[in-house]
Amino acid sequence: MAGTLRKRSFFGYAFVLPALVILVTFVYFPAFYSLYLSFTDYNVLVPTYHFVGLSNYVSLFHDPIFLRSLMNTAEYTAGVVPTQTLIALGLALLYGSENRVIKVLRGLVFIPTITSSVIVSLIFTWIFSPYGLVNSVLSLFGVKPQNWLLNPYAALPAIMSVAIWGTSAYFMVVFIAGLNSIPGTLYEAAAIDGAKSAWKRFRYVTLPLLKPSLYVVIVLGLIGALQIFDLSYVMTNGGPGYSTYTALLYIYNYAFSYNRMGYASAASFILFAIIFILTLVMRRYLEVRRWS
Amino acid sequence: MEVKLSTLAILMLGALIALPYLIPFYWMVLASFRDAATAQEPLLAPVVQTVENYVVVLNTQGFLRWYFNSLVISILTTLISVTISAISGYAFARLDFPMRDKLFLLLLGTLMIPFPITIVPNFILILKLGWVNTYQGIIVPTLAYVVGVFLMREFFKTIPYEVEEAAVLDGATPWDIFFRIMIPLARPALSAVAIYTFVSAWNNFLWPLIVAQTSDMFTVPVGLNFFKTANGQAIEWNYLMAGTTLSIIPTIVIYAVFQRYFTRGIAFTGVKR
Amino acid sequence: MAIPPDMARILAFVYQAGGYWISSDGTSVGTDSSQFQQALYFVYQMIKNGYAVVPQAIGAGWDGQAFGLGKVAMTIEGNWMIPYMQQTYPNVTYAVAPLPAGPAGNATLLFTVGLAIPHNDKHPQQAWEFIQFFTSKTGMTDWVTQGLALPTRISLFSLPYYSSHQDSLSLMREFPYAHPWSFATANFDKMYNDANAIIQNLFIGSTTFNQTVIQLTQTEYNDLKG
Repeated sequence: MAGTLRKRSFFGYAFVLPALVILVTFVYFPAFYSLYLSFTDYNVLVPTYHFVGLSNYVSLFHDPIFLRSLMNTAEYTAGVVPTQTLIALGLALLYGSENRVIKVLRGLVFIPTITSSVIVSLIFTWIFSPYGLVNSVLSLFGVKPQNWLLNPYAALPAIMSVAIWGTSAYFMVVFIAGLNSIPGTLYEAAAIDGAKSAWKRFRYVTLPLLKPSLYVVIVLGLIGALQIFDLSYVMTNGGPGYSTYTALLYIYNYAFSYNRMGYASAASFILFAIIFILTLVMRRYLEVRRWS
Repeated sequence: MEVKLSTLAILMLGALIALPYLIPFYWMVLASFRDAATAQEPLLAPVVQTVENYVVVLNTQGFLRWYFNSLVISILTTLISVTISAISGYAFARLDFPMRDKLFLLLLGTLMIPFPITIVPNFILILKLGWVNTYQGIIVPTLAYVVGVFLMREFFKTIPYEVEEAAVLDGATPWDIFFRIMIPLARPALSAVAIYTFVSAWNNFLWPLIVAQTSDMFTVPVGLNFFKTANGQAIEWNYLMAGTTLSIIPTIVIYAVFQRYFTRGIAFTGVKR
Repeated sequence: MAIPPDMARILAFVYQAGGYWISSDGTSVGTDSSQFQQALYFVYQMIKNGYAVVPQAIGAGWDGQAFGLGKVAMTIEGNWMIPYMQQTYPNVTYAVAPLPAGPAGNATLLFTVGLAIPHNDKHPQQAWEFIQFFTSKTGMTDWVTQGLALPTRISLFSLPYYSSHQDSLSLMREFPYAHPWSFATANFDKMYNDANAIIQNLFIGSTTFNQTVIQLTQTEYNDLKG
């Protein structure tokens, strides 16, 4: 018996080894290495580097562009996450049925989700351009054509709407699964208890039982929104005038355009801290312990 | 045939809401068949002015190479990823070994340590390994963020113990059990992981952007972005739209054929808490 | 006219006004000088009064496209436009003229190409042979006759190719007063990006001219120090 147990242990370790090795090498080690780098002035092009203590962090907090990028990321997240959650929920209610036609429509609505963010960015760069679709449609209502992506107040909202367009269907699927997991008997029981209208059913049965899905959608949405890069890089490259400059774009530019890896590591550590703390906070307030 | 009014209302609403999700793609394909002069007009009439755009794009230096790179990278990433997901998921679900659950907690690190903090150190790492501008440089670091492990673990946990016990009674080794019994049973879950991983790898932008230094190592997304601003001059819109249409074809095809595997994978994350 | 908020175009005006952007030793910037301001204001005025536009404002990806689409009457570009127009907008008739002189005389910009062999290159000998060919008379003739670039060898100025390509020839006549786009500072990328972003704010009307100059000078000085 002991022989087979040891043999099983061997298999166990052997099977999990690849994943763990890759994980430690490319996730855990980088996290610590990044912290280490953040205290240096490491530059890939320069052979030597020195410890600079906290000066990277001090510079970051004095850099108006970095602070702007944090603000933009915050604004972006605050706008995108609630909106896409609500829209996803709406889509789930609309496209959740088993009707064949609805299922086809559901499949179509999902297509933006599997499309490359670069392709989406390119298409929407046109859609928001002065001669693009948005202006054409708005001109039907008498609105003057705007240059959305060149307007420092409109550029970020434009990008936010593209993000929501692209990801709402993804979270719709999560909600649909959540909706489907609610036993029909609960609705019958609720009806007996007096909750007869659709709204009452939604409020007292659906919504509470959707909490696990809600948690997933919000946390995933949060983590994804804080890391926004592709859209802001391809559509506006941070412009106009840094109004769509996001945190990850800032990190990317400092690391790979200006080659200041130490400085960029400090910035990425700050972003990491923000994501980490927010995720913990969400977990504390939103996570639902499973009924035992 | 009785059609309820509410059903009809939902169908109509559903079709209406679906329009904004589809029109951008419709326009993209339309623009890809237009001349440079009219490509940007918001005309919605399907007029085919020229097919030349596609010829130009396919002949553009590098485009086919980008396609090839994306294929190689996506396929390799998927194969390795699915393998790792399967063996790790199975081990964590069904094999007993000391510290198994603590080691599993390590896997959760991928959820708590987001990708941005790894881009600088990983780049330095692959630089030292000589993997910059190579396939392995693009593929290997992304393997860490394989969420397929969780899905496979959940799946394997649903397989009744009796299956294994019966196999052990028949004298099967752990290898046999895994390869001859578990894997075939896991095919739907594995497909879900495979499809999802393939599309993610195909669409991945930031990391290939960082790793690829020369045009011949670009993946399709990186190439399209480069296409847009080649040499500081923006490429003409009609060519760009032809390029994006060509780029979207593999994902659309895979999606059309394997649609249910996508939703299966995502639904899993939502229900299992 | 289409003009982007880009130092790679505006700098020509700066030189024409007798100013400079980054000093030749890379230790200071000239963005607060009266000449620089005069040049920037000149371009800014054109945009403010509607004589010039930023390409994106009229739905073009860059100024060359704005010109090719016929949305503007002129633009400031170089010889690389010639093959581009031929290929993409063959039906547009146009002419090439040198930039008019500024208050301090003629000036224009020159963008150069450099070739380098990495120190750990696997095929240094072949790379060297290529460089020798590329810069030789025969090699250079080969690629300049494709029209994307102009020759650096004076002997090639009289190539028969140029008698049928007068446009390129007229651009080459400006060599004597063309300033190369090369600067002695390690932080050039950041200085360039920041300058463009600040000027873009000016062109789209988010800031005033004075605010722009102050911000530009401050930022460029900071960037210079690294």
